[in-house]
Amino acid sequence: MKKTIFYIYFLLFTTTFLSQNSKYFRATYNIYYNTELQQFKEGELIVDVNNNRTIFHIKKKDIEKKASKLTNGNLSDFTVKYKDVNRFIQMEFEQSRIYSKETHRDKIYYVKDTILKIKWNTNYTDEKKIGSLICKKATGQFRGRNYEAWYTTKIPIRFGPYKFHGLPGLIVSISDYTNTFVWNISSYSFTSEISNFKNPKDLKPIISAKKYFTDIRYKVFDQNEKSRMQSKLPKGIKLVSVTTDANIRKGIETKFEWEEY
Amino acid sequence: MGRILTIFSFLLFSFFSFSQTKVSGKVFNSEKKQVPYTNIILKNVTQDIISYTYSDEKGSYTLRTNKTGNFILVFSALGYKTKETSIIISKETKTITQNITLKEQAFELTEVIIEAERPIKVKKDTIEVKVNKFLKANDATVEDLLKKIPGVTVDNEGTIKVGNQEIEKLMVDGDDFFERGYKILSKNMPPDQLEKVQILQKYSNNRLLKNIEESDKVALNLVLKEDAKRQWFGNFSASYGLVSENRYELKTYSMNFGKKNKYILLTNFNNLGYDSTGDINHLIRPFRIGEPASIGDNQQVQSLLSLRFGQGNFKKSRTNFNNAELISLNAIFNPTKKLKIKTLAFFNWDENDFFQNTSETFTANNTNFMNTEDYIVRNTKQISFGKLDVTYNFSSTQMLEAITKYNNGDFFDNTNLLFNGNSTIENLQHQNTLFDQKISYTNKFTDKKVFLLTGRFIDEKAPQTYRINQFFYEDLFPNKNNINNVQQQSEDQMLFAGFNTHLLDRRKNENLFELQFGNEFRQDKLISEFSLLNNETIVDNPTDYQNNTIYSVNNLYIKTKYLFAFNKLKLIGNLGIHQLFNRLQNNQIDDTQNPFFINPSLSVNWEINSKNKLTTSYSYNSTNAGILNVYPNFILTGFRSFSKGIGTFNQLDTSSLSFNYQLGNWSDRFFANTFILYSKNHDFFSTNSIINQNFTQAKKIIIKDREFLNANTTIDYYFRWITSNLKLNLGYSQSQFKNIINNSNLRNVTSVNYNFGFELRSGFSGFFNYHFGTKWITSEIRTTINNAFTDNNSFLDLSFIFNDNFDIELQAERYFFGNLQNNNTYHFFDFEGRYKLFKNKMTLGLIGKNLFDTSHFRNFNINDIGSSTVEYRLLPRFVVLKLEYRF
Repeated sequence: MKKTIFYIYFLLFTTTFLSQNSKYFRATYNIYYNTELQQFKEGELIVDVNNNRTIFHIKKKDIEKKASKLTNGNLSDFTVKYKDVNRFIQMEFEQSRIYSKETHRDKIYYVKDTILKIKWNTNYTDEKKIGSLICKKATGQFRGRNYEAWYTTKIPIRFGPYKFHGLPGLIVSISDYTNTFVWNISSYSFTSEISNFKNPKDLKPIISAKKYFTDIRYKVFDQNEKSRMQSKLPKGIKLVSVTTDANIRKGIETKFEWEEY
Repeated sequence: MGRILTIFSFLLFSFFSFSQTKVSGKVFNSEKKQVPYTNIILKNVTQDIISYTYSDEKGSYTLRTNKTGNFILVFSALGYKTKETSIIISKETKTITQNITLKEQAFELTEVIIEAERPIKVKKDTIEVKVNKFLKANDATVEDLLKKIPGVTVDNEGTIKVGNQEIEKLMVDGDDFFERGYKILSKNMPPDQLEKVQILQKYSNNRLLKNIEESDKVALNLVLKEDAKRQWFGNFSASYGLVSENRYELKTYSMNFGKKNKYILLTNFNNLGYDSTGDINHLIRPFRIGEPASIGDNQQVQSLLSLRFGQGNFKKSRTNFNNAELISLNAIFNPTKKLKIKTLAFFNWDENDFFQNTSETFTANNTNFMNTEDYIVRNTKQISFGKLDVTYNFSSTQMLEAITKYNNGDFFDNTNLLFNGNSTIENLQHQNTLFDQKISYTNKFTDKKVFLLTGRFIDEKAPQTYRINQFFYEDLFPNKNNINNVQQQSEDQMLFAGFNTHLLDRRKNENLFELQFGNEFRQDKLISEFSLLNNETIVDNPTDYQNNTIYSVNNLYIKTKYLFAFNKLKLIGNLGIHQLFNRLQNNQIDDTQNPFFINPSLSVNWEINSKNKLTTSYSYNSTNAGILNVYPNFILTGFRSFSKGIGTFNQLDTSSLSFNYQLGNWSDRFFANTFILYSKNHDFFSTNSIINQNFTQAKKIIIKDREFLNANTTIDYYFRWITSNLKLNLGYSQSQFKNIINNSNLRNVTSVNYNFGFELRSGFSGFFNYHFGTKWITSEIRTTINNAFTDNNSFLDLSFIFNDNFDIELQAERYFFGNLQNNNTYHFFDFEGRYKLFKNKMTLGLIGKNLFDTSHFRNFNINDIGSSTVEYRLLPRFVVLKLEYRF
């Protein structure tokens, strides 16, 4: 009974808004990953204003085509290009949920994450004109990295690229202090087009962010794996330490709330 | 009382400071409907943002502030006109209600393009870190400093990594002294004279090849302060025998670095069987495979005769009775920014004693005999080596490098030989003089294209004088009665001159195209004079035993290489086109030949998926004969062996096919790798030999079709319940060739080797670990008769790491020889313990070798003409105490 009422209410509610202007905002970003494998990507932020949700598409585009080299025994050196797949980050602010498609070592994962409130410091007088937009500076911390963001109150939406949000205006440009990850706006427009938001139910199998980051992305060598490595070494070779790229957290997010005591 | 007052006022104060004003209200549009998600900003009069919030889905908002005064409240929402109202917040204000109505405003649907500034800062391949930010007073060495630099890690052993990758080299002001042996530097150099540390990614040895050559190398460069003061630093280690005869080692490294001049001095004196030239080998001959601008690297004189004995696959240090002295001085001068001069000089003096008893059985073609040779060998050598390397940088795109090397070696080899009971003394005196000049010019004429021009000239001489105080060759020279000793004087002189042009072009699709064109000329002059003597008088120089050969080869070539990558499949094609001009002058006969050949090869790497990898390659190769294959008359190559070449030109053709399949990855629980190599020599050099008890005569002959097959499999499996990995090794190799012995017909010889072994190694996290293994090796020779035997080698290593300062390693080995009747099992036991007395400053060590005091070691070999047993004398048991000190 309660459920029915809720549904009716829900239907009613949505119709009211649809009757209004359906408002969408679209912005594109240039994304620079100044990591060991330098990457340049394009992002597209779609804001569904009425439903208080956003989707950020990260497109395969690797203009600079940097390649990393693997040495295979004594045979030869050859070039490996990591396959890049379209990714997205969909943020549902009502439910405080993030649904994203992540890729790691050529595998695709659907990840369910929680929206964290980012404590921004807006106490700056700095102003900068980016294109025609007058932007103010803010700094904040998100999962292990410090960021400097430039936002504009001219576009009164509290969203931005990647998982960034919560400033009194659109985030026009944001980068971490080391300049390893950079998002710069390249265009924006208001639109009434409905964009392809994902239905979370279609994202299967879905895993929690905690599981994704601890068991897949930043998998730490446990003693068992360390023992395995050590036991496979040839005679006279000592195992001093085991590290993988996974062990060294090089991604955008490096520290997590579930790791705090 | 006063305290209470303070507390009270404190409470009061905090109460005030936390007293907040709540500003709330609702946002409507002109139709009186709520506007959700409106942006509400509280600004002061100077437009600074004090606080901000958003209205919820029902249009309600709440803002809190603890500030007082005049403020502006700004309401903005997409599709509405921004509206501002002013509010006043006083100390007493608890709540302010401010509802607002926003007017709708159509928004433009046109896209606004923001002219993106190019990336804020794309990371360059060089990262610079100022040292003073990280340097602490108690940092004693560069290693301590590097540990603190973000992105750089230094592990317990001193291995330096950037990210996950070990560095290629650690340079000082761009100068490299140690390559991979950089720990000598990082563990000893004090950091206080450093200005900054540079992390160089995608590092290339030739700076102009950067971004063109494929490189994933990382290097570190330590930049000295402009006013860096020179000071000596380094370390020394001293070892001395405790319970054994006089055993010692003294080793020092001293360095002195200034902005303009840098010096490194190395000394080593030891009689522990340690070959210290290994420590500087990389300075003498930097070994770089496939590096552009390498020409003439494999051109050297091959000696005909040697009295330096090897001992197969047995640890050399166990049989090396040495007394070595080595001094090396290295200096780098930078007179101007564009000019760099590097010099290296070393002197090495070594005296080695070696003891070997051989008994050899010959059985072929109805001839049977047995020879015994009891050898006492003393080798003395004295080597002086100098290298001058001058680099001149014309500009950022052009560079000239000239390397000059000079080597002079004097060798005296004496043996005291008991041959079948006859006391024999051999005496070999030889020199090696080398002059080597290389000039290379690099021009990076576009961003992605580099052109290298390299020229090289080498002049090497190796004269030898060999004397035997016995005459064993009566059967060869039957009419000479009064001969009682023999002598051979020989000289091999090599002259090499060549140039190479090399173009590297990194294509748009990232594939690298390489083209080389060059010409190499090599001339060998081989003179040998064999004399029969009566005491000191030369009685005869037999005609068939004298050589005077000049062999010159001019090789004009074009080589190309292209890598084609298609998804998971990579094809690498190589093509070499050679036009040769050969000239052979034997005594009075002069002959020429101009062969032309093409050497193609193709390899395929296919990564089927992350678990399955396949690599296969095919090549066809023609090689031109070298000087040791073409001389026409006999040369003495040992006290009872003569050999001679073919006397004419020839080229040999080989096809080979290899295949490698890998299942799983090395670190997986299960991993298997199989490698198969098949090669066929369409024609090859074999021998036609006459074998007598007192001498052998081998003539080179060319035979068709020789085959070689080698297959190897390793399987790894990790057992979780014992925290250990089991490794299985299986190997098989078979080769077939043909030769002629004592005027027989062409004999077919098949040699088969197979081995099976396993190892178990623990991966315990505690203080103890073990590793043991065993291997059975079966060798079989099939000619007219079959001969086979099986040996077994086993080892056990135990390691104890008690703490960071104290560790012990024990090693035991067992050798079993299947074909020896008695004394067929040998045991060895070594240990090494280390204790860090003062961290980074002083370490004490105790090293014990051959603790079972095994005095001799025998092994057994078979070949197509019989079998041999070789017995070596071993360095007796010793225990030395070692002290390492850093200054």
